[in-house]
Amino acid sequence: MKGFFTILRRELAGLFFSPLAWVLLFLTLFYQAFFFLYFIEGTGGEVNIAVTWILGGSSFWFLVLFLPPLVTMRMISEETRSGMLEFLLTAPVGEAAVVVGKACAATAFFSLLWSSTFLFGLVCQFLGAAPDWGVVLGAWLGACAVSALFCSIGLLWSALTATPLLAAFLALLTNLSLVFLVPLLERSLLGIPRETVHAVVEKIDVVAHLQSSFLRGVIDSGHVLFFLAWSAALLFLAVRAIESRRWLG
Amino acid sequence: MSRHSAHRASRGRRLARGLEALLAAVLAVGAAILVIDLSDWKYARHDFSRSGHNTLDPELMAILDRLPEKARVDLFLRPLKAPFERVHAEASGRFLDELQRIAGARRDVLDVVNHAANDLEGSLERQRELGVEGTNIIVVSCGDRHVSLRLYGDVVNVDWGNPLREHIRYLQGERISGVYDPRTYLPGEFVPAQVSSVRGAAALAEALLRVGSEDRPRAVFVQGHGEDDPFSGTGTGLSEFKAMLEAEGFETAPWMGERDEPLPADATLVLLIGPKQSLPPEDIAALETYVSQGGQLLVAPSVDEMDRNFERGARAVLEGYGLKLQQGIVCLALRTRGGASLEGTEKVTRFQVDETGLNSSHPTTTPLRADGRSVEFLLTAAFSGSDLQTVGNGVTRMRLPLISAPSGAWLDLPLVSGPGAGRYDYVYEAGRETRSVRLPLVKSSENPVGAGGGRVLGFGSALFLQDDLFGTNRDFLRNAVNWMAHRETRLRIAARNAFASRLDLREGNALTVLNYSLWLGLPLVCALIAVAVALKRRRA
Repeated sequence: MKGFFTILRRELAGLFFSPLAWVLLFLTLFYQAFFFLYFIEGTGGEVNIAVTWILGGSSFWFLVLFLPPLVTMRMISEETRSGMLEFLLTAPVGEAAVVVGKACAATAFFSLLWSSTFLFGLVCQFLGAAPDWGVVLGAWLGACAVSALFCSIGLLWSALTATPLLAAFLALLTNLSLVFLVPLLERSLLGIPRETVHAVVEKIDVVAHLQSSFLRGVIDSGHVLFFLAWSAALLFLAVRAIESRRWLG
Repeated sequence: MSRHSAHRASRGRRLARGLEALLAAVLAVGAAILVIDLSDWKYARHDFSRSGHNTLDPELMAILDRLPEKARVDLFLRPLKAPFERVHAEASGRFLDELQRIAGARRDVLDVVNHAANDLEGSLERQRELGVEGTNIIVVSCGDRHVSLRLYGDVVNVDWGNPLREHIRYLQGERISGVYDPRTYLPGEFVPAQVSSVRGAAALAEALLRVGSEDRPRAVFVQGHGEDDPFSGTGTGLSEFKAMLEAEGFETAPWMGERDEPLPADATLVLLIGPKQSLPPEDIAALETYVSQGGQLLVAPSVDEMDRNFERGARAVLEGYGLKLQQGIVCLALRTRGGASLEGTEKVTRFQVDETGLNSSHPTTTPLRADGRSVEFLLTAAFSGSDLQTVGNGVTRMRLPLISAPSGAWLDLPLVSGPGAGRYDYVYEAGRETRSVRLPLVKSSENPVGAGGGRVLGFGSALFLQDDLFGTNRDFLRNAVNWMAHRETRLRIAARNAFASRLDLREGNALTVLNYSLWLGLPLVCALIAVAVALKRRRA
């Protein structure tokens, strides 16, 4: 993992010193503000429900399905296409450091994006209706965990293809499958014992792991490990993809 | 090396790399699944919420810790049709939220499977495995034991308002009981239903207590004296009561009398319900011996016995424990729409007893009082006698009225003369019939010290336990059989509500501040930072 911090600084600088990141942040703040106010008015001023929906409702899922593929699509594939990746790997930096550094940078970007919820909570506290900060913290951590997982998926596809758009498209398809198709598996797989299907679905159900703990203000080590384990597995495969690209020439 | 062999060598290398990649993928996925499995086996969980509403009640935690193996909750929920779909959405939503909270906290011992409403085949298959049927039921199982809960009744209390007749038929078709009170029902005036309370955690805890215990209590039905036979299939009068016993984890069996086989000494509960003829002396002796050795006896006389005095019927058995039934039928006048009192019809023999008629300190009745539930009677007699009396062999038994008739009810006696002599006129006759006192309709008899005999529970009529009234009386009967079996009847799991924080949007300037800060303030800050970054890059 030599060179991890160097890569991390480089990627963070690349993200935050580019106009794209700030445009995305600006638009996301507008988007989240709209839905936060919508939920506040719809629930008659109930702050905790609005906060939970911002980081766990359909508006959140729309963002988290589309944004990570867009942020990660160029991270490896563009460098592969331009030849920068080979140059980078000749430096005393391992493939693992490159991949993990890029994943951490992307996750840090999304952590900043979701932290706008704390600002919404502060405004509500200033107005005399403090949210349940434990729930806000749990929801934010859950959003970061989901973002880390989807960034790992994006990085894997970015490592497997040399075309950023293709990487983004494939990552988006994978994200959509995880969120929408997995819950349907239990109802649609015929001929396979339901207990087996249920056991498989439990291992990949991202929505259930987010909703059953983080969104309630509970930090569950099992659910944290769920996101970490899958992220680690996907990043490992991304590292292997880069290694094989190097050896295949 | 020739071009051909170089090409083959290259293909070989690519194949090897492909296999390596596949192996890496399998190993990575396998490792992730292994880590996830291990993390579900041993995990730590911290509730950061302000109200701590995700932390389970200590009593519930203790029950979960004592489970001998992993328990499973199967949900068979189906939406109700209009105009009850909102009630169902709220009821099932609140219960599922509670269940998810509990199952999430203790997934090491509790598994929840929600059989989706549109997965009919899967639901039926699982119901066949469990030996249950119906919709809107929750089955809690552990090993080979299982207990069924009804969403409406056991888990959620609903005030059904004043439904129209077609709604009543629909709800009764869905096996939802207690939908309306025939005495206060106003036909044609619709009042919507609403959810009164949800006691998901308590109902689940009680069910886990039943299935978590490896003991299978035995309930023995006395047969062979004209009693209804609950073993011959559905619709036999006691079929729902028997089904409830089995859902509570009881093993049920018939006893045809001492001439056939001795009364099982290991029976937890013996039920003498509605005999229509005298019992042989040896059967009476067997019952007495059973109770004196600590057995529990439930007795309810048939309507026939009201008119014909059996020498050794259910009434005689009850008298042996100081539970003496008076002559006559308890009646309560009907109220017409105009508020007038109506007597003289057999309809006055059917009435409900609300929480004011339930004992305020007995474990069988206090939960019903707390939930505002009622029970229903039809053609019932009433008990008499004092509460404490020495009854033979020096054994002191305490007698407690558990359910008493509403004030205004009277004990109607048969006419003594005239063309209707011997029949009931269902009209209160002052001076001859009793009205002013609360008539006990269900009474218990037990030794308060605990030594010298088991519990005896007496009912004024066997109709109380039969299918026609079972829907309304189910909760009391369930509490009664569990109390008699010395099992905890009702748990009070404290509900913890999530911390609520509400902005006042109608008064003050909350909405204005929110709009300005969220639409302008924060994005403006973001835009300023973006401009600063752009300027810095340009200078660089």
